[in-house]
Amino acid sequence: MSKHPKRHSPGCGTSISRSAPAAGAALAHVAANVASVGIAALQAMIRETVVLRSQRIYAAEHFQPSLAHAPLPEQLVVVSQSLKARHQPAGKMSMLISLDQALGLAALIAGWNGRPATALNRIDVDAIKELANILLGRCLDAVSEAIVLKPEPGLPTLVQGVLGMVATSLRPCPNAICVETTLSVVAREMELTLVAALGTSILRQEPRTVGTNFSA
Amino acid sequence: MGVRTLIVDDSAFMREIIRQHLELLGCQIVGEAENAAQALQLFSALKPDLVTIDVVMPQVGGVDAIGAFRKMRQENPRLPVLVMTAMPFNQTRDVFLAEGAVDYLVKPLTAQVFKQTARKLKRLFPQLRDVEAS
Repeated sequence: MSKHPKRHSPGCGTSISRSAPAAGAALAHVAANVASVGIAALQAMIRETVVLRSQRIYAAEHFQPSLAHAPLPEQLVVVSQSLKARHQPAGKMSMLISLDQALGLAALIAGWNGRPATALNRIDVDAIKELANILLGRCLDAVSEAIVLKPEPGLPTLVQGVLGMVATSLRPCPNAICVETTLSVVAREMELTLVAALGTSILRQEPRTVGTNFSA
Repeated sequence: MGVRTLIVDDSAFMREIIRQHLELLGCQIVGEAENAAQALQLFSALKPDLVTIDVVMPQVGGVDAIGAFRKMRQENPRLPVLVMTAMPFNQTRDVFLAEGAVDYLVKPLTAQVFKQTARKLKRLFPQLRDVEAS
């Protein structure tokens, strides 16, 4: 049984927080691409049906409160990649998954179905980092339409622990807008969340509002 | 005779996947490197026929993937290099292909993705097994 309560019905529109500046609305235009490339890449890796569970856009200053209110599991595995543009911090890409689901996902990718495990081993860590690397690379490419300066992704780092412990590794650069996408592996009730935190200095500013829902 | 191949990727998990795909074709994996500097050392020592290289790896000794790629191609301008990366950026792909990479594969490396590359490799190395049969 999934430890993540449902936030939205699959297939619903992107929710944009009123706190997100105009560039947040511009990002809504490409958020759908993030979801579709994420789904395609995850499906290719695990050969199972993946759907969009929810998508939200919000300003970075609301990042931690937003996480605190999100129904995330206690034990988290987080893989993050910092983004730089012209040698300056330009954002952060992260993948969040619960520890038990990370174990299940690593087993699926590595072909270790049925292996009983309670902790990630070296190959599990490698597999999860590679999965994050692939998903976050695709997401970054998907949002490139909304970016004026090509950011350089750094190496992925993996941390695990309770939310309070891993929150520091998740924190994006100031003045960033977060596109949070949660994908669900239907048959296994498995979920993972991708957060693209993009600095406003690298974002186009013109808003596009087609197909979005605005929420407080 | 097998195609002597050097795999360069910082992920042991990915190196294993690449190894499996290449060995199915009949490549002989003669070395594995986890960063660009190690790749250059192994390249000089092993003189492989084929190299696969990841784009984003930890920089050791100031050498990155494109630097190692250029150095290897400088030493052997006919060296076939497969770039295998999680970065689907056109700009990066164009740089590697313009400088002579055989292919730029975006991970995940599914059998379907690899099949197209295998056809290219078969043209370069006729001794490899038939793509459709592998």
